[in-house]
Amino acid sequence: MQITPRAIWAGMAAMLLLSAGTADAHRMLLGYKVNELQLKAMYDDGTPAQGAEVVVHKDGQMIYNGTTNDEGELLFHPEDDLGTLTFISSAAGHRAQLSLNIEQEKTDAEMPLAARVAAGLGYLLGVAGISMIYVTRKKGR
Amino acid sequence: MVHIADGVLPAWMLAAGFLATSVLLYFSLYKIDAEEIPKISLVTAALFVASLAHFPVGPTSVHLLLDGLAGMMLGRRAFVSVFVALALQAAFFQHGGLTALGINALNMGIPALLAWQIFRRRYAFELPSREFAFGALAGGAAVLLAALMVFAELLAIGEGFREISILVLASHVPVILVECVVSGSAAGYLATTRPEMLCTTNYAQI
Repeated sequence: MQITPRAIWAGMAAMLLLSAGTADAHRMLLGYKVNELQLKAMYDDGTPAQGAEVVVHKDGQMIYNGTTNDEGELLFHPEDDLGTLTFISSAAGHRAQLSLNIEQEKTDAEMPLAARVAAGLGYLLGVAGISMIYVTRKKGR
Repeated sequence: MVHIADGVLPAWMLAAGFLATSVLLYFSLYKIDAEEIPKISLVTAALFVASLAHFPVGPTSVHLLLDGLAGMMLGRRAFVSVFVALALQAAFFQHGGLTALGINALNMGIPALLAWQIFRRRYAFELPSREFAFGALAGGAAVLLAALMVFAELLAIGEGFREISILVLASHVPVILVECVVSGSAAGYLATTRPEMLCTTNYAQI
């Protein structure tokens, strides 16, 4: 049985290229979409901020404004990814700002698929290479 | 679906899976020669990326296994190849979990050994395209057995019979057909162009 190093290289390179076009992998993912968001404006002693004005900004543009109820609460129905929105509440000189970019942090932490494929193939190529060197040395003696 | 994730199966089943896997690993690595490793690595690389080629079937998503082809090319060494490929998939793609690695290796590795045993029976027949016929048979049988094993394990932990029948068995019917074509064509092609890539009887005999 004879397998040349070139054949191993070519095979692994072909597999890397084939996998590069695949968008995702075969594991289950659980996603979510927030259809309703309950905002609560309060002061630092816990008193609800009644009748506070809440504005929602997306990319610097105001897309929504509303007023909190007696409990300091306001229901908002987001249509966009929450990570892109900024919420600002203001009442009589008080002002608070809120951004929800949990989702962005999560995706940033993950390696791209092509890199993960390359890492796995790299291990296998390494094992193949070491065994080839070993066999060549053994034959040389 | 052949990858069982972490936290699905009970601890005793995971432990039994690792135990049986270590026995089969010993059998698979018995008297291995360094010259065989490059070929094993190449087949392992194919198994490693095979699960990325997936397609939706009904309510679930399935992918090629290629374990039958691994059995035909590697013989008894196919089990170690499957084990390494699954370990890399668990580490890099989170396909299946590391605690379920033992069970997943059995689910994929035993069918690979079955495919090897089916494929080596081809010498008894004098057909012009026996490599294609036996390759297709072995490839399809390997997927069928893998699906049946997952089915049995999920049934044993009390999953609903109807749900897993659909999600595991019915959804793998297209995979069986695709693997028949892929494994048969690969075996037929290798038999005419690179017969040494198929498992020959000069090593890896039981």
